[in-house]
Amino acid sequence: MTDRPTHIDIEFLSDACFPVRSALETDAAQSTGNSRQLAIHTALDAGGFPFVPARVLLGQLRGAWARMSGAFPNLMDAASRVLSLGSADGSPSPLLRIGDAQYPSDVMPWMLDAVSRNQHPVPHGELLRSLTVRRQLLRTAPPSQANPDEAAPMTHLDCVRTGTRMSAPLYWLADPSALELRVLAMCCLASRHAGVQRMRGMGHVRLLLSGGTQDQVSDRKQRTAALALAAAG
Amino acid sequence: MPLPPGQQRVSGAIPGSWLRGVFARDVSQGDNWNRLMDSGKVRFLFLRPAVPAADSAADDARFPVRSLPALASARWPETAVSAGPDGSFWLVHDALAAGFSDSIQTGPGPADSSHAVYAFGTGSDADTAPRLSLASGLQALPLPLSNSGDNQPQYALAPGQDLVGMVQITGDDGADASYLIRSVRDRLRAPCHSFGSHHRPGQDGIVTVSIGPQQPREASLLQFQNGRIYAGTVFRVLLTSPLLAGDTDAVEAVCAAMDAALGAGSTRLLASTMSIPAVSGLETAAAVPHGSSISAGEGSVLVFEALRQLEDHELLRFEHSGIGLGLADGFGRVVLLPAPADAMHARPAPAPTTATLPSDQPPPDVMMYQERLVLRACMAEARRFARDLAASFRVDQLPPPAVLRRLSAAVARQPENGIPVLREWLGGRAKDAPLLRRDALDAMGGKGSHGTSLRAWIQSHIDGESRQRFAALSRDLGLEALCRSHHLAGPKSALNSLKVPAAADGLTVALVLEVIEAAIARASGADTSVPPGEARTREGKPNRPGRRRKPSRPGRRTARQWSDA
Repeated sequence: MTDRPTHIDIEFLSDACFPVRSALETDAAQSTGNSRQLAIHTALDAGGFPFVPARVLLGQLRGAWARMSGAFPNLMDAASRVLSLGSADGSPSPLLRIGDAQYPSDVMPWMLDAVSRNQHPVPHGELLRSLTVRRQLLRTAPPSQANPDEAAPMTHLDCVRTGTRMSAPLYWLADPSALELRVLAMCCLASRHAGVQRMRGMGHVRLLLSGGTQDQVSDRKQRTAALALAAAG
Repeated sequence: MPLPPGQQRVSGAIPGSWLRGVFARDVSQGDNWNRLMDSGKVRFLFLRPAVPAADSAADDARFPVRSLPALASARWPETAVSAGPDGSFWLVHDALAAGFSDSIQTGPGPADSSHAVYAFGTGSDADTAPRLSLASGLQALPLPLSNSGDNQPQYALAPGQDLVGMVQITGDDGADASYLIRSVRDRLRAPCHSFGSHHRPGQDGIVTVSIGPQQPREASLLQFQNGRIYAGTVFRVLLTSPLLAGDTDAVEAVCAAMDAALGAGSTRLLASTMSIPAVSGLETAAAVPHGSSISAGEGSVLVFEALRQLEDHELLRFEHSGIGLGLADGFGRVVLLPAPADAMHARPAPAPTTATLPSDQPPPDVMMYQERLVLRACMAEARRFARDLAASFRVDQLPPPAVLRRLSAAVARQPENGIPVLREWLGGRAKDAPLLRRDALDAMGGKGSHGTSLRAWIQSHIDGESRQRFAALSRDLGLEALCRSHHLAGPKSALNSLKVPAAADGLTVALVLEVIEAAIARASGADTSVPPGEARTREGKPNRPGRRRKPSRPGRRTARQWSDA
């Protein structure tokens, strides 16, 4: 049985934002003229903490595979099973399910306890503001058609902070082969940017495979690279 | 502990069709398995929240002793049953709240939902206490309304919940039953399964299944009827899952099933109370066979009198056979209860689990977030303190704003050396550094309403050793209180993180800068009668254009002359 990884660890090397809703428009009327402000917040899970949706993560892996699939024709079948790409000839059912990436399991209990403890609970908004950072973008939206003289809206992005580490669980519906692990490792290493504004300095991430233990970064790097360079079975 | 935001409790259970769907996903099962599924020999019973057995405690306030709405309307038969001494009556399964309409249930959330499935056949010995889940409420996540305009509420099960169910296997003989049990166990041995419907990334319904030992019956935590029933004994039949009786009346269907199992004329119906047909909660409307409807909800009770001696195997066969339609999905399950006791007490639900905090050193990531959290709180408190301190000075007790701005700029240029810079500027003339003159220092010596001057306050924060400086900082900002209310890994660890010299000095410098900025605002904006843009002299008179300025009196210097540049 192949030793399979249990998590994808995401390390944020820069601020990143993964909005799931359209921009929340608020009116900030100033003393002189009107100015609209758009506040876009990164996705929050049911507990109100930032997370990376599984669809974003899966999209990153698929995008990475799409860019390099031409160079690895022998891994097409394995990629279709791992990334749930499907095939016309009715290939076997998908092999892997990816969950949402959340804060590590050794961090979440502390934060949940902080907001729910009976004595001196931390306001959820305070904790959320310590987990995120607000970045203000330049005025990029055109003025509205109804009022051309109105100032273009300013956009604020509430992003996940640099240095944050999240972990997405992997659910294997069957034991993977060496080729399938190789495809997964290659896609992780090839995924470098995610989220909005990723072409403007944000969203720089590092994806590494891990067994869910408190491995050092170097161990996870080594393991992911080893899986990616594994000889074809 | 209250539920996390976005989650709510949903009473109910999950029909067995959802578990049966796990097997239906893999098309490579083959025709044998499909025939087995269609034969009716394997029934997947309802899945309910897992509750560990505990001692009976009817007066435990944590467990909600519910009564059926039918009981509340006093239609409860009076001949042979009685309510509990406190007027409440607790049954195995909650009557589902009528607040939910028919909903399309999506798959459970990902991660760590586990189902313990007990497979039992016929004639096996029970070696462990059976577990019947109590409907203490599943945690569900309301989902956004679909784009099709369907106003039905949709729910997904929140992750981390344990459910317990059963698979009933009826074999023709011992060998057949063993084969069936082995087949079911083999198909549940995968590392995890994809459960439910409407899958999408992040809501794949990932569950792990563990199989428990065999049980002889679907028993309960209640005292069920065990052994033979003698003639003249009153006993009860409790529906533990909804009944699909088709066009037949629910009571007639139960009586007909009992006659079929025990023989006509074996029993006599005394009274019955049928609960509200449960069509809400998490019972999928699709689980009900087409053309049928739920005739009686779970929790319905029928009271019978035995007209002859009823043997144990006969009663067991009646329990196992089920009543009505949808038997393969767990509908129509019954359990026999003895004559009504004074009260049926529920075993209380366990206390809501709180976050399990590690007992050893907190992980580094938590410290990183904790430090940010505490520093944010400290800076908010620092701004409030600065405003209050500046407000305690009169305008003439503060040096000119330009002086304060020069001091603030000098500190802000090298915040990491803020304390030495402040000592240098406030300590008198040094060898080659531009500093405040004595007059400026004296101007900062005006005591405010609370008896200290701006200079003295700054000196108290920059003089002495680090411990003394931290004590002054802690006094002014109330660091202990802030750490108590804004810690993640404990107030002591939060306070220790601030005692680090680099952190403490940085916070001190930030506080001093806040005070200086507040003093600037106080000194420059104290007189609001002057229109904006119009300068004001030190004497307080507006400096209108063309007005010749009087020569300053001897001894008084201009703002620029307060410090040498």
